[in-house]
Amino acid sequence: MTDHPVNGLDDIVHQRVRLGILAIAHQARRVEFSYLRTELDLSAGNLSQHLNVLDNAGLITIEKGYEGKRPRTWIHLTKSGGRAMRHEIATLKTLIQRLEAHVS
Amino acid sequence: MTYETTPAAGDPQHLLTATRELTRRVRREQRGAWLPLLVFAAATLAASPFYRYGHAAGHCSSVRGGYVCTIYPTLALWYWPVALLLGYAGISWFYLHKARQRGVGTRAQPFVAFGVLLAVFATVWTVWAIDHPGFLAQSLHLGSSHPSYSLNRVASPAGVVGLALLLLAWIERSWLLLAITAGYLVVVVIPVFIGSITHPSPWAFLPHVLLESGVLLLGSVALARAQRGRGRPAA
Repeated sequence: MTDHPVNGLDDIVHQRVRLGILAIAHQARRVEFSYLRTELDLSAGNLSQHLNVLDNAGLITIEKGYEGKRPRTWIHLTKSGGRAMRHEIATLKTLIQRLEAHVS
Repeated sequence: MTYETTPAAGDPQHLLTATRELTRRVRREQRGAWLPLLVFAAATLAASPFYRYGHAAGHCSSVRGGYVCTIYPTLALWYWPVALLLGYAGISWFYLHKARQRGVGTRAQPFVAFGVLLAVFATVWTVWAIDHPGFLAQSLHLGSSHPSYSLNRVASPAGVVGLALLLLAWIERSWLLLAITAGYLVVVVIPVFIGSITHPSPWAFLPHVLLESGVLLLGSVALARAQRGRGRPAA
């Protein structure tokens, strides 16, 4: 295995929607399911699938509850989720730098 | 607004740009600094009767180059911690309510905690400064000069409001709030007097109260308009 930055990419995190979920949860600390669905323009089923992948990997936690009579689902970023996101961003930046250096 | 898809969705540059854009959108959604400014403007204006009719307590002490005196209305001394603590409680409720309504968590808790700490510090400092008016001037070798006055103003209730707003500007990544806070802090530290320094008018507090609350009020309107301009309601 070489030390090329591509090897540092995590298949779970390196996916457009899942990286979007992590980025929103990182900034918001706590984000509601319906907000994610609107911002990422996804169907409920599609978003649930991505959330399950992240939940199973321990990158987020899902909290279900009620506010008044309204059911709500909140998503929290875990510590390893935060680390994974920062690592992905750093790897993407390194990749871009490498590509730019290669082109010029 | 939606998360746009492009044919090159997996390309690093696109992923990074899309992630940054999402973060920016969440930050915009979380902003609500117009309310803290409005609360502090109201608290500053409401302090006027306490400044005007509060029994004045004061001491003078001699320092290098003259005298330093502290005169402070005792009613205002107790008004400010109560007003600031109630204000921060209201601001905290506002951000939490907004977070529940929008579905996006808030990052305002450090601002509220820092603001409450500073409010306690300002009260303790003011009580201390009344009994030790020359402390800053003597310990920092400033004499009875303008820097000593400015430092006392920064440690006053109005000053610590400005310091807490600096933190909020950083949390909300808002250049507009930073500019408003900088303007506010300048107004807080510049000396404005009515009457002479040896015989101040009972209305000597008024220019500061009007200038400070005016800057905060205008800032609140500017922030609310900027937020509405982006197509979202201000609250």
